[in-house]
Amino acid sequence: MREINLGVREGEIVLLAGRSGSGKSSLIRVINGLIPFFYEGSFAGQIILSGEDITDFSPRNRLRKGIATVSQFPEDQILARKVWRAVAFGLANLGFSREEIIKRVREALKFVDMWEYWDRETLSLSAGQKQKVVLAAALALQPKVLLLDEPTSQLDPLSAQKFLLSLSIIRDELDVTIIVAEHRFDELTMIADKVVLIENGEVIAEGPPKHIFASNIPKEIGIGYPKLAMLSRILFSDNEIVLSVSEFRKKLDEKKCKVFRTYSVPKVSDVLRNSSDAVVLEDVWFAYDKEWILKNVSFRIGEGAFVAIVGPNGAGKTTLLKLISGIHKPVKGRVLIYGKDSRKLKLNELIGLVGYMPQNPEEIFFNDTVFDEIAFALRMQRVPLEKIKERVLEIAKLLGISHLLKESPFNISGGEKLRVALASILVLDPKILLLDEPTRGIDWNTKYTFFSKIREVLSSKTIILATHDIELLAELPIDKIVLVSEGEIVKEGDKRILADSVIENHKLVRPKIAHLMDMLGVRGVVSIEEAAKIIRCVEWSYQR
Amino acid sequence: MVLPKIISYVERDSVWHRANPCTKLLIVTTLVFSPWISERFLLSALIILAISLIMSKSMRDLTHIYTVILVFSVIFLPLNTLLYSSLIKEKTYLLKPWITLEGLLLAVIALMRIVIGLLAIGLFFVTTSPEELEDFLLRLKFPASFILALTVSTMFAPMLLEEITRIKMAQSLRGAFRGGFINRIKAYARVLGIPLIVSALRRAIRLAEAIELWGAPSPNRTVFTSISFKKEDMVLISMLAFLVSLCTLVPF
Repeated sequence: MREINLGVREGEIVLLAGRSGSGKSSLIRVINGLIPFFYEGSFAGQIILSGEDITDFSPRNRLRKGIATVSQFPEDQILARKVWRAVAFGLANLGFSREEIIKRVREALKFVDMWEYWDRETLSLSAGQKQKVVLAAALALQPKVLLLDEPTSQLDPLSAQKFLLSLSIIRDELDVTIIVAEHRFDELTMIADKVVLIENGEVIAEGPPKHIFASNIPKEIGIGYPKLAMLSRILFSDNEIVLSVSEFRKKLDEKKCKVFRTYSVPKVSDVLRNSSDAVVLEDVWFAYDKEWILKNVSFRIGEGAFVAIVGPNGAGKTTLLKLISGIHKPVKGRVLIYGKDSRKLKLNELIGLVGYMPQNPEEIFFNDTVFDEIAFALRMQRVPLEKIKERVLEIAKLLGISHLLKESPFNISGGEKLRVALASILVLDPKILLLDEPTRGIDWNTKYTFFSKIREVLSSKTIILATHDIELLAELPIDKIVLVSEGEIVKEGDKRILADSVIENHKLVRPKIAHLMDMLGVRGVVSIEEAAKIIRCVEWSYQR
Repeated sequence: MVLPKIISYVERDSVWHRANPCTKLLIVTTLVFSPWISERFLLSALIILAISLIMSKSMRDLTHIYTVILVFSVIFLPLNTLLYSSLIKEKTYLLKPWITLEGLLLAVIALMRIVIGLLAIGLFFVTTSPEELEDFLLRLKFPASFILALTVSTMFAPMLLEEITRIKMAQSLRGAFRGGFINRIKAYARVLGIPLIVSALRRAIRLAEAIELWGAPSPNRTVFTSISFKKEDMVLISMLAFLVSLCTLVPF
């Protein structure tokens, strides 16, 4: 980071935006003191809090002064077994009296609506509840400044939306200044006073959300826009950015825009209609520790289809992928992979038939170079050396990572890690590719580019993606959506499911565009591209 | 992953659960060390342990310790029998020239001492919540960083287990665990070991960050539970005193 000059007023909500690895987390660490007290390096400059120079204050002293932090991984910030103990942890370390701690813990848990869980074990909570516990722990300290480093990256959409919208209540009721680094702009741009754009460790722009998202800078640095801002940039002139659905509707009236309600949404794709079955689940049941994780699950996936398994945290998405992989077998029912019962398929038969990419691509890396990482699976198959080289170069070229072959897979960017992990799996040419939410916590452009590339280069493969990123799915060329909740299939069909209100009964949030189009009387439209075809404005058309 | 299960607390309402950790530690220490003094104390320890297990209602919570004891017995009982049979002078042969009755008895006694110790330690952990233990150690002025490490290590074992399952699945489908036994062992060490170490290190950094950000470890940390002697403690200490005195004073 260099030459950061940033002022935040008391009571402001500031959104730090930038690509993954741009320096947002580092800026937060500079404010809370982890830099330079925990992460050593060359440090120069001053940090001023309410007129007091706190540059030489350690993280603990900054905590005493009122700077609290909530990080990206709630489970790593909870250092106690019981909820109330986790909330009391910071206060106890600062030596507050027992009575004061108990009073503050009760208030903080009530504020985040978690009082009824006060004596629960933290391990039994969902990711959203854990993040609320961490937030309560921070609020119990009665901070002046609350720092949030991608606090929603591990949460399902509804928990994330509620969490982000609660920030304005925290600001208003508790008089706290909030600085939040986030990739989800849709909610935050409605409540933030200021957006700070960071690129390569420098602040390149700052200002009110409408001003920032009216400019081309977000596009240039590749962070994307809030969905409604994207649509308004297409429909209206660049400086007329709209960030909320109600405001959007007013603007359409003002501009005398027309809505073509006769637009027919594309129906079931050809891939689904004409293909043979790649995967079939017939009345599948699965249990861990005598608890049913999947109950009576049945669906089919056609060969070459791009299918998304959608559901909130803990719905059973990863378990479904484990069963489709053939490695785990169902307790009851059948999983057929290309017509063969998974119980009868041996590991040797599954290798090269199914590939699995975990949430964190780093979890499969263990070689010194990207080349060796990609070549590993072929070496295990005893493929001749010349062929290995040929195949690695071919796959690296296809995924645009030829320049990384001599690099360590651990020392490349988040987007590059994704592509290297994908190459390491695709090198065996599996017919079915399972993706277990591999783009969690990654900026919009990186994940959108990744999936677009996948679809482009792997058009013949069956791709099954488990995710709860509804906004991303809305923009991707998905053939089929399977909605899972509490281990059961709730609904399946094409992308229009995302616009269905049933989504909201399962801790998910409908895409912003679907909300807008519903208000305009057109149902089933979820993507910006479709919306722009339906709405036509006289003075500024998307066709320009 | 037997270890984290052995030491995991199970919430119940019993005299042992309600008793002070100090009292429990006193009994456990007696149970661990007294059987080594003489056979007389071995008997008293056995009786105390049996009564404690009944009072704690925790017989079922020690299942994993029973497994450890079983494995231990299968390995060490025959070996110790052979060893003692060869060392001891009086020999009443059960299987000439290898096994003697005296050797077998000594091996059983040695095993009993270890079994009592294991069960006593297990009983302490299944009846003492980590919070109680934490506060108890804080009061005993144990270093704050040691107590924190203890808490964190018991909390993060289940997450590690989940990570192992995920990595194993992804690497299996890359063909990592093919080949003979030795190859598979090597693959486990490399293919599973390196990502696990990397992931554990990253988690360790995040935990260390969190510890700093919450102002821990703090020597002046507020302790929540107070150490007071209650009715339950009196009951347990009286039982201990009575049985130990009985075995010391009454000739048998």
